[in-house]
Amino acid sequence: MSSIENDIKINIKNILKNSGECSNKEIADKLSYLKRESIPNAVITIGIGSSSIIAGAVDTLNAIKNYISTKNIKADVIETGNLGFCSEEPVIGVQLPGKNLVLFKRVDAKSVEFIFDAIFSNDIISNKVLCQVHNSLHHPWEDIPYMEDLPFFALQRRNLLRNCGFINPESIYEYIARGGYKSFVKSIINYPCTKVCEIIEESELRGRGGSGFLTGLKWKIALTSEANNKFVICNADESDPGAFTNIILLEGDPHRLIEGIAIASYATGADKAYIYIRSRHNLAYQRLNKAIQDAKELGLLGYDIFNSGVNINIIIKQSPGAYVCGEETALIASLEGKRGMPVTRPPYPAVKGFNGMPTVINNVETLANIPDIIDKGPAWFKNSGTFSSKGTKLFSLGGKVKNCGVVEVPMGISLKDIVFKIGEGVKDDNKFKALLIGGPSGYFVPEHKLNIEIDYEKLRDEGFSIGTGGLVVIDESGCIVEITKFFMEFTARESCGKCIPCREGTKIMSDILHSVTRKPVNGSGHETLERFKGVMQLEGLADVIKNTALCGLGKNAANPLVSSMKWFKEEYEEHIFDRKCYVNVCKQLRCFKIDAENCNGCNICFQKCPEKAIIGTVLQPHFIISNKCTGCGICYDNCKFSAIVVV
Amino acid sequence: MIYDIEVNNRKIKAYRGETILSALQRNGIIVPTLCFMKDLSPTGACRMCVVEVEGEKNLVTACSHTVEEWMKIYTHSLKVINTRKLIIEMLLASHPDECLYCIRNTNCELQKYTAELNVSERRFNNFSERKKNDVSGAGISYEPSKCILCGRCVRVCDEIQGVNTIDFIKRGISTIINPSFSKSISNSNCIYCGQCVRVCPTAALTGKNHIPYVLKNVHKQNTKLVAQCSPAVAISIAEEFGVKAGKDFSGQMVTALKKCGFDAVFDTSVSIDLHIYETAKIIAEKIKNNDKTTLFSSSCPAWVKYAEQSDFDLSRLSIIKSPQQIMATLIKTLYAQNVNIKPENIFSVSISPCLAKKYEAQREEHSQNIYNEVDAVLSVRELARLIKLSGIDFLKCEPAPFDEPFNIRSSASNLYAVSGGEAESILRTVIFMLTGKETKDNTYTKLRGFKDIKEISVKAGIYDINFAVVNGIKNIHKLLDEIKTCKRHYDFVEIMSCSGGCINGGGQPLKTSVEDLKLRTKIIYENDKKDVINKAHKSPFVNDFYNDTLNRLQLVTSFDELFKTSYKYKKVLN
Amino acid sequence: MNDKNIDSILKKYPVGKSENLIFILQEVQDLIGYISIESVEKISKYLSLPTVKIYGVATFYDEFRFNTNVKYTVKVCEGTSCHLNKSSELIEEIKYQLSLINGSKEEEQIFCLQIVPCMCACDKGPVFTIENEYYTFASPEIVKPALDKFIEKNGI
Ligand SMILES: Cc1cc2nc3c(=O)[nH]c(=O)nc-3n(C[C@H](O)[C@H](O)[C@H](O)COP(=O)(O)O)c2cc1C
Ligand code: SF4
Ligand code: SF4
Ligand code: FES
Repeated sequence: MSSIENDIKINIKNILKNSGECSNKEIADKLSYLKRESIPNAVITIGIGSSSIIAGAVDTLNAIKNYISTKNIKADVIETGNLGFCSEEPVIGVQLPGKNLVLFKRVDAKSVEFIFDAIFSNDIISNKVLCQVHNSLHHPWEDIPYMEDLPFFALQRRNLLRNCGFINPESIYEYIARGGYKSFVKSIINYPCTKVCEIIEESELRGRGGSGFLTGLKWKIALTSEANNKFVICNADESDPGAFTNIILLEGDPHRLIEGIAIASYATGADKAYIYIRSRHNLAYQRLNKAIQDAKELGLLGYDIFNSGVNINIIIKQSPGAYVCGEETALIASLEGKRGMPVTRPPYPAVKGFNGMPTVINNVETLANIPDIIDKGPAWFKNSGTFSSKGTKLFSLGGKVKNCGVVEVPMGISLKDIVFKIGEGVKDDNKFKALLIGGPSGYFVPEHKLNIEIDYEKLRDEGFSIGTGGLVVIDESGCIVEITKFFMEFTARESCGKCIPCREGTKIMSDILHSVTRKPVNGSGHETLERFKGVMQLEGLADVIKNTALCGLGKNAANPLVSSMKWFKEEYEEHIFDRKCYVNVCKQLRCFKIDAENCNGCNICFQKCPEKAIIGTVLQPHFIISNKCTGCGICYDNCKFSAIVVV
Repeated sequence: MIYDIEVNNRKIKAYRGETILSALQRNGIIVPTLCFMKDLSPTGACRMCVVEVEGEKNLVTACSHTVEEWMKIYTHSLKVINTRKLIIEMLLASHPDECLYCIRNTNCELQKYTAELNVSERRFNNFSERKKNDVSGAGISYEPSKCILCGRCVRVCDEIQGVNTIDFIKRGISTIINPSFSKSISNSNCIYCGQCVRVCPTAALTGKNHIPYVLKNVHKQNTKLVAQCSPAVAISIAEEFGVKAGKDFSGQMVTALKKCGFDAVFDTSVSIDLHIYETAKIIAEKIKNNDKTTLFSSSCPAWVKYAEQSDFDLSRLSIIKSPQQIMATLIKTLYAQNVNIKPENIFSVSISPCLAKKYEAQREEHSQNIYNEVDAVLSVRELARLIKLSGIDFLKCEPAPFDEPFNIRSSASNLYAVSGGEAESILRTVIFMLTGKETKDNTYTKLRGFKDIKEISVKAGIYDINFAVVNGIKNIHKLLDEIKTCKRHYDFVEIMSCSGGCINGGGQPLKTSVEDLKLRTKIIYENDKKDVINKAHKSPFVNDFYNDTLNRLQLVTSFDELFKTSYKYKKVLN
Repeated sequence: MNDKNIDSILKKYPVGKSENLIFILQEVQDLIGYISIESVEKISKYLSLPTVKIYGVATFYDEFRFNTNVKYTVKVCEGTSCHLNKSSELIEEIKYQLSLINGSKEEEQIFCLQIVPCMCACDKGPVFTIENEYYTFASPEIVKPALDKFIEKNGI
């Protein structure tokens, strides 16, 4: 192995400049080994990433290593990133020489032995197999579905994700073998900066971080701004609850991002690039770090790259944790060592950003798109997508959906296809209620709107927006009002606290929603009046916050509220007028009754009730005084005879 | 470049590059603001200044957007008004309903906008717990529940004063303005300059209230209630009663105080003359001995606290007590002797333009002797409140002179109210002490005006005199650096924490504009020009004091008790 | 002892450049477990930045702790998916259990609770971790046994 690396190191310029076709047969062979086209012995891959670790992938890995050493099998074990199919994790892959790679699902430590016992004698445990991966150079396995045949993958178009789950993210050579860094070298050698900006502009790539601004245009603005220093910042601060698209890319294919950043730095004339990454001590940080080190070692980053006079310097900074720091001006403030408070725009960061210098801020996904666009040309990129939105988009599909994970779909696909085809519908065959798009500042999409195509303009016309790409499916057991309250509380907590409408408004709205989802504490008529008054104000409040807040966090804070009130009005009415949460999520609205038939008067509920709302004598059926009951449910939890029922 | 923009369907003139707000203000269109501060960078935090700009999706904040030629602006459309109203209502949701008992009642900006925008009911309630008050500070009280987080105090403390006591702490709905590590103000590095109090739109930050202490001693048996008035009070007190700045109302003030129940009203200027004389003595001595150390003034208590909590070499600080404390000592010794009562039976009130004087009065050096030197300090604003409380029509008061024995002063003493004045008046006497001759021209323009640092070199006979003035505490480091790096030598350095001097102190009327400051300065220099006794050593009181009074005076301890004080390092979080 | 270590952290950064503040704070917290007043004073001198600004910055972010020398962290996910799976009940329970273990003394906390936005395990929610041990599909009932196990294992 190390000899291969050495060869590549020495020949790196040739490999990258000759657009992949390597004249040297020996090296070509080695590259093909790295691509696992021809392997001398079995290769076992295992997806190690944040989500699979939680699913127990580390134990599986240890079991694999253990198996190999005890059985004395000659096989390479390679840790890859995650495939993105979270609900089937841990996923492992086994490739025998000459045979297609087979992926196995939900491989816990215990199942390693019999899966391996079987496959090393050319047999497959069918209930553990996920799929096989097509490769014309290898022999297929019989009776095993191809990846493309699985519903989860069938409608996906995996460009950004194509390496995730297959290559070793810590090996720059594997990335190079698959054509990596070619685009970068091509850019710095063949194109002037302006040309790169033009290519990107022509591709009509739009920012994937939420705003959908044309990336090429942004670069051009920065390039043409006069300044001593310029910066590129990669926004990897993804901290929406329920979004994990960026992290999959970072953990699975860090070099793609590094290459994208390097191209962006070159195109905009930036002397420094920062990666601002969420939370600390995680895998993504280590892998990125290694990626940068390796790229430096090969001379792909640093000073005077390939004698082109281009300097590129990438630094990783870890975010100390605040949701609002995903907002670009807040991010800059945070990088400058200040409180992460957004500032008014204009001037936009591309004109005056980090340290007052022109700064391009792009999302991870946006930047990961760059190498392919340079490599295959803008026309290729524009091939997929719709009139106004090109390319593919990552979504993290979660909530009550059967297939949970990160998916990459071409723009223009409908939400329905994502949920019902890729996601294979609602978990446990429950009824679908709503799809939440875009996290805590996103929107609820009702079932009859699911036909909408993923497209910046079309979604906007319907009053939705893509956001950072979180899709959460809510089934019939979810309470829309409660989820809205959860989001309002989230924004109130995460608001930077600078401007009044956002700071006070979100708090007031979450207080109002709070009063809707619980019973009056003292039951006075006054509180009921307050509640009605509050509810009537909600829309006005939402409007003012949207209109006046300084940054995107405040401007979008009321989105979930507005869209849920629009599409799920009945549910609000049930909560407000009937004082009932029919799905029993809002605990404080529950009313309990004691079923006299089942109550044997054990007296336990009487003792436990904190409100003294239960009366009765021992061995006689007890009663709940309904207007003293706050719905805490302690009696319900404590009754051993199921005598307490929700009414 | 000037161009026309359209506002509310009428054309107005705007300069290229100015903010919408400034164009509107110049053209007499009033847009409410809460976080905006003139001359400081806009933060766009309050969103009260929003206006509608045709073609923009959202409302635009006037304070932070520059005008463009194509703009059509609506400043008071229904949408804008309703928005502003709702913003105010949001603030009110967590604001205590205590206007009637609030010290800022009738001059609170939040209250003003509430009224202007016709808010007539409390539509929202924020159910969070009320935050705890901080009354620990000697000069400043803080009531966080009334804070609207406009950030003006933070910006003043940082950008204007450079002290950096407070900042935003935490985030989101838990944001609060606090000193470092959320310590109490008394344990912080606050120097009580009171500039934050002056800019706070609500009663979140207020001066410590000493009126109750004074009231307790009005017409009390066996107690003489005595006041001393700083020269920066008489020229601004009338503004609190609606008079334009720039007039001296000392006569009316004396009468009003008498009507309030004070038994005697003295002029702090008298002790300023003594202070000038004592300080000049030290400086002249130094110069004669060719002693190249710098003497730093110590009459600004905020600066003294600042010095004590920094690594400043305290031995360079003048050990002469501040005029307020000298006068207080004289009151409790000389005056007590004259009227034959015990010092404990005098309640001595200092009326001052400064909140740090409240702190100075309770420094252990001045309060833990045999007697409390100063018992209470009233700011200009408090004095006005006291006068109103006592039902006195201030403007109709017949002027009366200060009471003996502390009523004769030189006009130099009054210069202490402005930045550079202390240096100028001391300079006059130092020159006399060094040469024995009176100079004809006593105007030193180099020491006047609002520059950050002022310096002057004067030849007096064979001696060179070098003085410097630091105008505003933020500039002290500039001067110290200069002394260190350029090896500059000054015989004396005057430092006043508030830019402009005591006329801009933290106890002055809240809405003091730059214009007002200029008028206040003008009257002081004009009075000085007219006066014949314009040097401390020419004041009959001073001559009398050293020739006669001092011999009669029965001091409890020694001469030092009258004039000297001491300093020590104070550990705080800077 | 601590002082020296903090000096060695500071030495890595240029004097007076306040843009490095957050990274210095991160290193300090890694080293001594929390942000102490003494360390802030040192940083303040080194960067010529008032302590209140440092405190203001540090309190803005979730990551920094003051006064508490915490040994172990418990993380709970409060992503939307986990929330749908009733993570709020789980969080309540964890808070309660931790308060029992930690007691009331601010300075000597054993565990601290971190609520994180998403742990990328949306299909397995609710999820919580005690240091490196993961618990998926967690119901409130398993909190106490999990903590007990951890405490026993680590001999706390
Ligand atoms: C509250 C808030 C949070 C945001 N969070 C993120 C984030 O986590 N990741 C991201 O890439 N962009 C985020 N953005 C969007 C950024 O401000 C910015 O638009 C984006 O990084 C630009 O990159 P793009 O042009 O590649 O989309 C957020 C915006 C707001 C208002
Ligand atoms: S909208 Fe919210 S997060 Fe954005 S600046 Fe205002 S307070 Fe801060
Ligand atoms: S204390 Fe006063 S000046 Fe300071 S932020 Fe609060 S309201 Fe504004
Ligand atoms: S004055 Fe413009 S936002 Fe406050």
